[in-house]
This record gives sequence, structure tokens and C-alpha cells, in this order.
Amino acid sequence: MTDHHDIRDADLEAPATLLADLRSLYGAPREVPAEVDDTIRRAVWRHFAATPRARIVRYLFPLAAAAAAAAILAILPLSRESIPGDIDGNGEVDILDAFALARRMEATEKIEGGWDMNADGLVDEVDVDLIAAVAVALW
Amino acid sequence: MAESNGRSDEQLVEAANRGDPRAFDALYQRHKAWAAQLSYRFTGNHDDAMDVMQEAFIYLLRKFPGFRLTAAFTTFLYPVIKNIALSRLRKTRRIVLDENIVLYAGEPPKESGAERSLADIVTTLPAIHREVLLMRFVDDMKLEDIAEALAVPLGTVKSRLHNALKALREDESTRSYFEELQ
Repeated sequence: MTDHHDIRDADLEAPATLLADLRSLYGAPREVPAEVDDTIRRAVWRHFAATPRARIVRYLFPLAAAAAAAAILAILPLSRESIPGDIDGNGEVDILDAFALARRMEATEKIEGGWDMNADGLVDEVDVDLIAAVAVALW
Repeated sequence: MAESNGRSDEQLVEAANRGDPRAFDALYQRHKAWAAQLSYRFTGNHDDAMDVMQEAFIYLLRKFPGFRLTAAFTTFLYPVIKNIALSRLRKTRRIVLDENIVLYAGEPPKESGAERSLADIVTTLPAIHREVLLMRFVDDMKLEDIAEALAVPLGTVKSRLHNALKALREDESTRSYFEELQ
């Protein structure tokens, strides 16, 4: 066994042809099925939607983070969407809209009637799921 | 790779820490092919590899917010995938595995004679040597990153890689590769 102090950098190089053959044998890209992508995306959305805002804010601003976030939320007007599901009013329905609605429900902020995606008279988690489904379908 | 889409891995991690799910999705899109290939290397089975890769990203997801990227993203992901794969193999195949084993050595050789010989030789290398060889030359990881991913000293990585190359250099089937270096 060679002591590593005796090993020169040149001893740790591989010829180009060896490199190419190793990559051909072991490095061929693997196709990831669309359903795996979808599973990950749904998990991502659920995770971020379920992550308490305070936890994120505390990560960003260790000092008085919750108070600052509450103050910001109080002065920012709620955007009214023109497209069903466009909670943040940026002109498209994406995963952030589901995220935003979940946050507002969690914070018991004012809920707009137009966010009742399934028209059952309630704005609840079903509506959040519907927005997320639309967003994932559009990706 | 780490700078594609205009944002580095570090920037995407920061954005995900601020609660942006699209940043995490971008990280996933950027690294999924490598993660899938690595998972396959450990499991030798496509379905198992997909499950392992999925579990690894879910594990990573749960680290947010608050995840600190202190090394290359792949350096963090490598041991996660390895541990999940080995744990899964222990459960499903009811066998005892050495923690340091890279179980699956590669696909059966199928083309040229030279390629077949290389696969055979790599397969017979000690697992810890084979693992470092593939991390360095297939995954293109730096020696320092390999050391961190495997939680071993840099000298150990150098020693393992040196021994792997020495075996290839001394085997008559793969010796010809090294003639170009002389």
C-alpha cells in the first residue's frame, strides 16, 4: 500500500481514453420518468405551503422576524387576481399562487370570494390543491 | 452546471430558504440526471434507482428552510443517495452490506472488447477503490469533495484512487490505456 505522501498528482490522472470509456460505462444519463418529476414537484409545493412563514422569516431575520413580517403584511395591499387562481396577481397561475393562498389561509387573512376555485362556497384546502394541480399541469 | 439558468446552486438554495418552491425545483431539475445515474450505480435497478433518487430529494426538501450549502451540492447529495440506497438494499434484499461498499459495479459490457475488459477489471477492484475511481472520473468530483462526501481524509482518497489506477495500469487488459501517458 502506497503512503499518500508519496503519491504525485500526476499519479492520480487518468488517460483521456480511459476517462471516456469509464464515462461511457458508468456515466450514461438516466431518463427520469415524468411521474417522478410530478411526485417531486407536488412534494415541493406541499412542503413549502406547509412550512410556517415564521420559520422562514426566523431563518432570514433572527431578530424580531415575526414582528417585522406581520408589519409588512399589514401594510401590503392584497392583490386581486384577474385570472381564476392567480392569487398574487402576476398574470399567471403557478405554484406560488397555491403557496400564497395557503399562507393567507394559515394567517387567517382576508379571503377573496373569487378564490373559491371549485365554487362550493368555501375557500379551503381543496381550492389550494386545485390551484397547485393547475400550476403543475402548466409546468 | 452549477451556474445554469442564471443562478448558482448557492443562490437557488438561498431562494428556497426564503420559501420559493421554484428555486428548489430548479435545483432538482439541474441535478436529477446525475442523481438518477448515481442511484442506479448503487442499486443496479431502474425502479429502485428512481425510488432512491426521489427519497433523497424529499430528504433534502425537509432541510428547508435553514439548509446551509457548505460544499458543492453533489458533495452533499452523494452520501444521502448512498445511504438511502444501502439502507433500502438491506431492507429489501435482507443482506448485510458493508457501509463502504459500492454494491453495483456496472452494467454488463455489451460493445467493444476494450470496453468489456475495462468493465471486468473495474468490477473486480475493491469496492472502496472503485467508488473513488468513479467519483473522480465519472462524477468529475474534486479530491477534496470526495473526501468530504465520504467523510475520510484527503490522503485516504488519494491512496484509494492511486491503488485503483495502479490496478488498471498493471492489468494486461487495461494497460494499453496508460501508454498514451508515457
